[in-house]
Amino acid sequence: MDILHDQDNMVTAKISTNLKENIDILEALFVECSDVIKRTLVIGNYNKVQIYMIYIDGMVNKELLEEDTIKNLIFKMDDLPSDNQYEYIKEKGLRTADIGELLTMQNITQTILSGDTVLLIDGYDKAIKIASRFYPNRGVPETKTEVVVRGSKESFSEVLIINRSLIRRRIRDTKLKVKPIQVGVRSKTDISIMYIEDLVQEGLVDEIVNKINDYVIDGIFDSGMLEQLTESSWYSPFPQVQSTERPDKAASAILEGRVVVMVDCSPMVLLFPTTIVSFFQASDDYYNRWELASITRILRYIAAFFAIALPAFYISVINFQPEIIPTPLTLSLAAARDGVPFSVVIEVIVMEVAFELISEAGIRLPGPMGSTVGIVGGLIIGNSAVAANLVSPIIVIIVALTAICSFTIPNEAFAQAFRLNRYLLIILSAFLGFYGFLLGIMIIVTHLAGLKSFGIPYLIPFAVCEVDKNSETRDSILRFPTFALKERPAYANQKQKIKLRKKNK
Amino acid sequence: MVIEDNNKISLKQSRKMLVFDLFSIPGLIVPYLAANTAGRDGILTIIIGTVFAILYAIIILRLSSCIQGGFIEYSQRSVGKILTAFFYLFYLVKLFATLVFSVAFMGSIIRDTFLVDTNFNIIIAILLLTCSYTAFRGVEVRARVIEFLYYIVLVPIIILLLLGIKGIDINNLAPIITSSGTNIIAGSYYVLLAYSAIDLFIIIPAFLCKPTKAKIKFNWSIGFIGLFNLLLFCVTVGNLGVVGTTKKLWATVTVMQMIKMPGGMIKRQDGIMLSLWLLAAFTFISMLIFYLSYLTNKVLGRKDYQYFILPFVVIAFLVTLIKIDITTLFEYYGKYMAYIGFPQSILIPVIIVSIGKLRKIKGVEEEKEDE
Repeated sequence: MDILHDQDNMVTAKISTNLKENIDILEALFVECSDVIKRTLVIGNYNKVQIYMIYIDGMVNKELLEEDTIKNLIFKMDDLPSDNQYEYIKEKGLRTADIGELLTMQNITQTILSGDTVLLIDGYDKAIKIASRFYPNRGVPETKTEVVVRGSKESFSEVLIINRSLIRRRIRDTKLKVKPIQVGVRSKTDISIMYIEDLVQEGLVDEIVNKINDYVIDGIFDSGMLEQLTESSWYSPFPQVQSTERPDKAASAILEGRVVVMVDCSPMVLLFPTTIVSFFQASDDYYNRWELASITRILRYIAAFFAIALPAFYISVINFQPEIIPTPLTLSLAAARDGVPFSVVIEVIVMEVAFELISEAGIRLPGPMGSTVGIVGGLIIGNSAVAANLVSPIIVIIVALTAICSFTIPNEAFAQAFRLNRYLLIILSAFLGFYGFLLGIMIIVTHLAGLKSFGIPYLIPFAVCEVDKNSETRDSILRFPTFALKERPAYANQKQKIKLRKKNK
Repeated sequence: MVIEDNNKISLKQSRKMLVFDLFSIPGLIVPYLAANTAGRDGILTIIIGTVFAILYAIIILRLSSCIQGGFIEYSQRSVGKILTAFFYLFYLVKLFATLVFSVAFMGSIIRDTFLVDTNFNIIIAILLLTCSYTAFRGVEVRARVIEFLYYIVLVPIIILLLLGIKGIDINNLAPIITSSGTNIIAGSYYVLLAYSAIDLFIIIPAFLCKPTKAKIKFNWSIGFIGLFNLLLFCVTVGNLGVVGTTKKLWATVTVMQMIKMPGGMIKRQDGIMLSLWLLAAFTFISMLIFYLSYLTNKVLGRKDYQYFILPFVVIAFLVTLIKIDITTLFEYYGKYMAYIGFPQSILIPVIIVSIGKLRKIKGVEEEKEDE
């Protein structure tokens, strides 16, 4: 804490009517900040007044500032009166609609740091905010992690304003609200909470805001940090908040009665609340025909089961219950393992870890090298390991199949949870075979049954069935035809349950 | 629609829980019970036993509709704390005996089917720990687990049993009414004992979202289990015969080995079917641990029932260490249930409610409304 800040890093200095005092405070606050541009001007012809402009280079729209603001102030202020100069400058001097009033030094500094320009006028203990933000950004990028065959290819970016506009384009409803908050004592990260006020459950938005404000943190740089601070079951590997980079998915979630939380500088937005079926739903499920979507969904659920269970099932069958599978297959597997020096469990763990390493290396390396590593690691090393009889070919197939299955899950965070739980099942199966496998399944199911996302049980509609009647069941494992998806999910405001009806009814 | 963590379940959830409780471990031994006492007339014992069970359920639910929720609280107001504690001991013994038998029974099946070379104590210990985790999470979580597993467990088993109809030798099932009336009635009584989970409906209303004065109808659940037991008996005895069925307590598992599934991909489908059955058994055992802890907590007037879970699990484990053959254990357990366990489940609530009516004690819900 220093003389100008309190313990929460809020600026405590008071704004003054004396411009020089205000300049001294701002100079002291922004000492050794070479990117902060300050300019003192004297404007007016017969009645002159001193003004002070301050902004951060690289964060403002220089054209707006130079052409529409400074030029106007220098050349068009001849009729500046002797009193009410503040109001005159605000109305005549600034050729932009987006201006605001700042009454405290804390607000002034925050405005500057957010990329807007602040104008102080001698004789007034308030300042004018000129909205001039222009961050360097990559525009609206193409989606990389949630790719669809049919549907929009747009993705959220790091700029909050762009992200908000992507939602606004899709939902043109006056009831779509945008609630701004700031998180981070030092980062002061802008967060927007978007929801439709008559669709969202009562109290949910306040609960989310309270959860966000529960912690006093230095800085938030991604929505993932916020997600971890708002979860109630922090120990669970399963995400209790859904994240997405797709604007259409976020818009769809808002229309279901959910709340979207956007974090500045993060291309992933958070969707509150969530259930397990949300993680198996992809955007193009709703753009394609219902039969195709249903088949794809069923495949995803089966793949999810394989992703978590296949290696453990293989271990239990080979080590403890080989009589479960047909004898020719057992002999085939045994022949494939002939000469391998390691036990099945070691083989599985080594290959799983190897795959994790290749996967992690592929993410960290730049584009072209990443795919090369994938090919080198997957094909050549795997092939070589089999040829050297270090692992059996069947293990390579098992691990590869498991990986492919985990990649079919649309939500990456949810798929990550499966990776962790897979090891639990592997360990239990290694010691207790099929019995251990079942124990692991029981532990995971019990854990999932106890999870909630902002009061909504995770396993809806598979559990707590009577709550939601038909709405979630029609869009869970199977996707009913679009005309049959008439109701919003259980977590929406129950007074606005119907989302689709025939025009004349 | 926010669901609070208040340990409350819905009527639909409680019905599914009842089906699971009646089917999980009792289902495995019903064919043995019926065939052992009445041979081929086991079909009749199951039908009569199910009818008895429905009547039993009506009595229990009638009594619980007078109590309207907290059984222990009502009992303490009706007969006093000392007598409630005395009655609690009967429930404690019954639940604990059922827990020990269930654990030993499932442990024996697991050892026989899955883990021949593994130490029995390890199987039991891990079984108890896993079930205690589910009990620890509360009745709400247990209900959701059952809802999640409900169709996953029941549908494949029923399909397998229906496939087993093809292998039935009618000579194993007919003619019927060849046993004496005494055997049939005795068999029906033993089948009725398999439905003893119904007596927990004296306690379950405390966990229902809306414990109303009106009778809660669970007859369809009992009827469904009755039909299931009938199918199970027909397939088991039809395939193995009476002698084959009475050779082992879990003859049902044996018959699952014999049924051929189309495709033939899985050679030992009894392993797969038993694993599904095992999932149901986990919930049953966790139910017993939960109620033991819950009742003890209520009687002692403590805040959290979770503190009692581990002690009961440890004691149950120590008791199962006693080297006793499962068939002998079953015999002792059967006699206990027949002469003490089942009669007490009617007598104790009748005494409590009768005294409560005489003393004009109101039900728990009525008492709350008055307050």
